[in-house]
Amino acid sequence: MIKIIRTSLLLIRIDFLIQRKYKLELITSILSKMSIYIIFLLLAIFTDYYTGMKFFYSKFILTGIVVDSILSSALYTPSLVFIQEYKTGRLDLKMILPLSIKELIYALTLKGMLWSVVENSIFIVCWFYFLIYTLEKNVVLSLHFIIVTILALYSCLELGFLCLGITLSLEIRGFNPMVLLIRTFFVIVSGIYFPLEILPTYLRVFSLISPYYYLANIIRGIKMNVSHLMIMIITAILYAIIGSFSLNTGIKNMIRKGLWQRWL
Amino acid sequence: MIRRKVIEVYNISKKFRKSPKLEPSVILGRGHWIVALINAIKEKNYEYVTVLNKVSLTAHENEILGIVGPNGAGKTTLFKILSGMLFPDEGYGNILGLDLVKDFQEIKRVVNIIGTCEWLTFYEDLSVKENLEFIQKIYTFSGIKPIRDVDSVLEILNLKERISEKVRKLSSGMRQKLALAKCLIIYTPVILLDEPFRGLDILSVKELKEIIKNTLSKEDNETILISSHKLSYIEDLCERILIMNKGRIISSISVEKIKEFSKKFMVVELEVYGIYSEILNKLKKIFGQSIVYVFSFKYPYTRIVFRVLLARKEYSISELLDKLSKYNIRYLYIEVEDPVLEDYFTYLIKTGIGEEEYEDYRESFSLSEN
Repeated sequence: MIKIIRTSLLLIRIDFLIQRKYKLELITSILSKMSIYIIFLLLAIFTDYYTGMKFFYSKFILTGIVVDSILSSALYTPSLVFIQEYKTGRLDLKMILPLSIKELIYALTLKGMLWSVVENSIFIVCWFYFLIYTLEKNVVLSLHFIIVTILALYSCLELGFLCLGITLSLEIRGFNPMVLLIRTFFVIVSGIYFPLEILPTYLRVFSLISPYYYLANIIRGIKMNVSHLMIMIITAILYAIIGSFSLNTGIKNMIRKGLWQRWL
Repeated sequence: MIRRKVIEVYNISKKFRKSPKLEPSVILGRGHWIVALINAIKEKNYEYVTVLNKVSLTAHENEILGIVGPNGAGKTTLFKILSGMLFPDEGYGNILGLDLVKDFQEIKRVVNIIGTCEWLTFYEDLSVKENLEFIQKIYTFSGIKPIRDVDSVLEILNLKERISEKVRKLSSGMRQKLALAKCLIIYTPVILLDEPFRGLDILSVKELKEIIKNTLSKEDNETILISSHKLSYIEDLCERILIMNKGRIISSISVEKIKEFSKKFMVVELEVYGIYSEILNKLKKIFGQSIVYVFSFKYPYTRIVFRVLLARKEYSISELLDKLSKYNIRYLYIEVEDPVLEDYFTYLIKTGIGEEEYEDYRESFSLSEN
């Protein structure tokens, strides 16, 4: 674990050294990441203004955005970072280092996650605001808040590894649509941008397996049952098993076919 | 003295799939994943190319083993398999007891590979020092302590003046030298050098050879595998040389065997002007039964260089010149010399004698297996 953390920190340092001339790139990536969410938020503020609902929609959408931005980063990072390394040809460099491929993937993911903390800094500040707000109201709820956030992040990361495993197994060399499919499905069944009540019952059942649903609920101050927490833990374990299996299969496929080589 | 076996590989085969029939960009625009899915379903219909065909080899402790062969012989693929970056389709092997397939993650700790696309394996935007420090640190994280510091390594390689220069500004020769720095910084029992002398001038080749022989082999006691498509680069460096062609090791030769070969044969090289077939016939008449093979390069304006391998016979230069003038062959230069390893290699490939040797070579492995 320490080795992975140290490696990812070293890779971040290298990124800084490489990008010493291109600091603007980081600013533009933060702005592009935020732009779509800001449009969402502005629409909600306008709706509030015209319907006379005092910050009702704005709060609802803001909580949705916080959940979506934080969890989607975890979902996207493994595939995105790996494909980026492959496309820039730096995967060759890292393949010959004395790290196992799993360690390399974990280090790259951690690096990607740390970068996405910078990119999502505004939404993470919002998350802290919601945490402090809950802490003032109820200490137990705030403890739940932290546990649910960790579990949801972990679930999404494992789902990200599942997607990366599929990327490697199917030899997809561009963008992986699996990530988009999983994210869209979770966004629909979790009610983060619209109330769940408008969904048909057979779709609403799927919200139980969505980490987005639980994090959105806890941020909105809805108390969780023990059974809900248990379901969340069970799904997290399930995602971990599927993710690990998919990643192992993908890595073996990659080594068998030599997919990491740009020159093949 | 019996030396420990470091690398043992038996009957390794590898096939590569030919490029997909459906071109994503042509048929489906950006729909790479749809094509990937179709390809995965249709996997059975792919055509395959055999890159390695039942390759067996052993390398001993502190040995410098050379692997030579023409382009596409399978040298790089073999090195990738030995470094745990590719799985073989068939066969098995181990490096210091670590299985090539089961322990592919751990193999990277004992094997250091310098690849043919070494220029890819540096951060082009970082300086020489920053790149080497990165390698040093990443090995330290894995518990492999560096044996030399960056400055002393750069001094060995005569790159100290370029310490703060970015890698993208270095010439290909310097990059090749820098690649070797990775082996000098840390100790790994096995080093795989894939075409280390590619694109280097004679002086740089000599310099690198010195480093490989004296520093890596003698000082650090590392087992080194060197591949090259040019025999002259490695013949004075290696104790044993394996010759590869079309994915197979066709012969394993020692320095003694090359000496024996040069006792049996001799080479006459001459550059002439004329029609190829005519001169070839005349040469056949001059040398008669003693011709083993004729190797030729054709240049524009009917200029041809013939390299004739002959069964050793005492020819004096004057005797040869007389015969050439008798058959009216106008030559630019003529040279009588001992055959080099390159001639042995061409001899094996051209005459097909290597095939029989290959069977003997394989038999020796099946015996050692038992």
